[in-house]
Amino acid sequence: MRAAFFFFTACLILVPTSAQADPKGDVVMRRYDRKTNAFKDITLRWNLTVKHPGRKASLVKFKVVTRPQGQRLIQMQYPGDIKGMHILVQSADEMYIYLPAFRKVRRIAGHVRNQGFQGSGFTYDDMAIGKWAPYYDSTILREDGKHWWLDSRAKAGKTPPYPHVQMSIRKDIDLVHEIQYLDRHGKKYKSQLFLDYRCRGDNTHCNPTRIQMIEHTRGNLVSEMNLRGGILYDKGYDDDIFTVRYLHKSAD
Amino acid sequence: MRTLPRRSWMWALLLAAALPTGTARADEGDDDEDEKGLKTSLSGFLSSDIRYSIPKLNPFWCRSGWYCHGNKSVGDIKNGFSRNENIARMRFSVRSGDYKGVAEVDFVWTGFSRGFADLANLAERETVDPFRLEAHALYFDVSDFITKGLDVRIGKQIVTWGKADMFNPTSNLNPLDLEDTLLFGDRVSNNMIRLDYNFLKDWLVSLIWVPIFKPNQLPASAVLAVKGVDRIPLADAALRRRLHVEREGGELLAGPTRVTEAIPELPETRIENSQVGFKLGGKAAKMDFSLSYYYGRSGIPQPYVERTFNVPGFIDAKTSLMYPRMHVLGFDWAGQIPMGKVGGGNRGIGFWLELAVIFPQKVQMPIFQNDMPIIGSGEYDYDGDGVSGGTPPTIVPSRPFAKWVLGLDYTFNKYVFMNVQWVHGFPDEFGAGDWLHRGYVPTRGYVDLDTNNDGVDDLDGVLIGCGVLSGVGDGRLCAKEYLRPRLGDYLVAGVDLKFMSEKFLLRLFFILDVTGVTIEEFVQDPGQGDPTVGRRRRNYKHAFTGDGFGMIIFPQLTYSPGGGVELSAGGLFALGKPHTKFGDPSTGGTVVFAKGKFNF
Repeated sequence: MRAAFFFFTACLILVPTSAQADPKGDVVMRRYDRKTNAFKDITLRWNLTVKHPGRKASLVKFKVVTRPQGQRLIQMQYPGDIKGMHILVQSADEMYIYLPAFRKVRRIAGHVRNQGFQGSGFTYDDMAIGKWAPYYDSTILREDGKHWWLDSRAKAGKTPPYPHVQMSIRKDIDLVHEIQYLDRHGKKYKSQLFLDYRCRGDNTHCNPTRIQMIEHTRGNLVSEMNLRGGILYDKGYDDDIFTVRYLHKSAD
Repeated sequence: MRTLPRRSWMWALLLAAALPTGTARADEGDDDEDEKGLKTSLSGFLSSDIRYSIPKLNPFWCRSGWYCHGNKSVGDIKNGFSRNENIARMRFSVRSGDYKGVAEVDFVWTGFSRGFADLANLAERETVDPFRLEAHALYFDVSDFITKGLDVRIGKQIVTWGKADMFNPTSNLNPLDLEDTLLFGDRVSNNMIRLDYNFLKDWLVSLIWVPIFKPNQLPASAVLAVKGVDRIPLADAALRRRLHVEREGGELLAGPTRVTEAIPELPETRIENSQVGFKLGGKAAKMDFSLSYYYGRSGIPQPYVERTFNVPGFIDAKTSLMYPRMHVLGFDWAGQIPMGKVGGGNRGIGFWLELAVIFPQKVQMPIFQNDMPIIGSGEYDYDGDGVSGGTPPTIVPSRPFAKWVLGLDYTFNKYVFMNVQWVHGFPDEFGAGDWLHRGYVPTRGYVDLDTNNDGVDDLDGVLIGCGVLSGVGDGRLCAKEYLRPRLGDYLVAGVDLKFMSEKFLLRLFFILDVTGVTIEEFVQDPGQGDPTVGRRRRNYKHAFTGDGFGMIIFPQLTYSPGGGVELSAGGLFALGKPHTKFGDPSTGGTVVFAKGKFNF
């Protein structure tokens, strides 16, 4: 009886663990990380619009400089009330903001990072995610001729902003097409679509030119980012620009 | 009100004419392609601000038509429009490689015509429609100057130190701009040379030299503060009480004491009067720290000489004010308190601590009298030994003191954000005296002849019963004082409620003075028939009593339809009795406002 109990317990513990240790899912995720960060640095300019039913769409313009190490510098350009605001992402859990009205750099504490940015479905956390594989164990949920569907849960001891996501990875370019964010009950509360990829001349990197965030808890409210202008690669930005010093210098 | 000299006006026109050339390039802010060329940007705002002042809207004030004490008439403060202002702020920056220049200037039209001396004034635009300029920044900087990581910035600039919100006791390089009470925490720019050296990835050392000291910019209502002749912050309690008695005795003999001059005297523009600051700041264990040192002067003027004259009808007091030197050691620390996983990620509470230990210059205030009743002319007899002079009273003791701010903030959900701070020492408070080391200043002082508090005077009048005619007033027996520590404690909290996808923001902000007030008076011993037999007694009134309560409530509703437009309305309600921090008429009292702003 006691042996049966131990066997049953062992199954409870081991079965989910072995299900998570799906090398193929992790491989796909790592490949995606590698492909999406295949640059020395990248500069993108985005228009972010939020369209509420029956209301005029709101527009925000910003510029983002990203490095594959996960560092990011975001410069708000429009509208005027946020123009000059700079956000520095040094790592997934270290972010700073320069507020021109106060002439101050402030650390962005964790409680702010999951809040919608300028009324949109995008959060500060969304801006901070550079790589997924180090934080998630991924399994293949299903696949077809065009996509792998991954089920990704936070690794033990890791606290990424979203504990459970499912994402589809395009087989042709190894890049994400859709991410579904799930709550603790497994219910989808927002979805993100990566559309209209534009690839670099040598095909080493592709970037979506349109990203949609659909908030299912807000009546499927759509926030959309549209790439503005060209994609600038490898301008030679080094560590210096991802420092608080630079944030002061460039913004002040 | 400052006027704009014609030459400056021409300069402003030239600047304005030059700005549009930058707009086309700056519109997108996309300047990457022109790394070594000239990059310009323009931003700023146009705002319109109208306010109505209703200082009498304070249920804690007396209803009798007079304040509860002193010679201040309610008529001194009138309801009415207090601001009718339009501002055009232009921030123009130009960058060329490692060099950058910034000009940020406000063109302010005040909206109130000045008083007209004669008909000719009506032909002057600056009298009919006054305006002024405010420069918040006029500087240039050089990155990687001489060596990599060394930046230098020269010119008129604002340097804000400290991690706390609005209250920054470690930030003393720029004077406070208290001209607009709604923009609390704003600062006046000053000429300085700043060197920053980034010696390690996240560690920075700053060295700043400010050649010329600038005082705090005060609100218009601050002139009322000098009417409080009972509020001179003498450290010597016995002398202070005696002065209350002699002042009221003098009122019977020669008329009330009025301050007709309170002249702040700026330090001479010499090298030894310049200010320096040093700061070492960086990051460790995912928290931010900095240590700082400042040597300069307090922006709060302190009286250091008083001269009184017996003129027909009143006693004329002329006070000279100075800005005491100080050394400030600062420390600040910010990070987050982990809250574990709440819906993924670490949703910690933000916290900060900012501490300044201030080593002030001792300030003493000799008092000189001219033709005063009974005591005549000469230096005041401080020790009451019948001989004029002695050790002048201390206004600011040299004992070091600490100011600090401890704060937390938290976003509960996408609608609600809260920020709470414990502020020890308001920006206008200076000198040792708090719950750590006792030290009081009077917020009200007068003669009380009723020693058994039965509503009937027990002493034989101020002149005789309180010894004024003998030449030395008996403050121990006759003076009643409302006292508060030199450094108060305040609970500062703000709640933001965002709704309609952040189109609307309702901000409710308040400051509660938790310091309370101590009432000190002579109390006759029970059972004694002699009103002069007893002892001085202190009675502490905490913040939730009628005497101790003082509070600012600042609700504001802002609508942001998009495109940089903000429309807001609200009020700043100052509550408390006149002897409290916020009930004091010199704070400006209650005001309601409506503002429109277009940011670009």
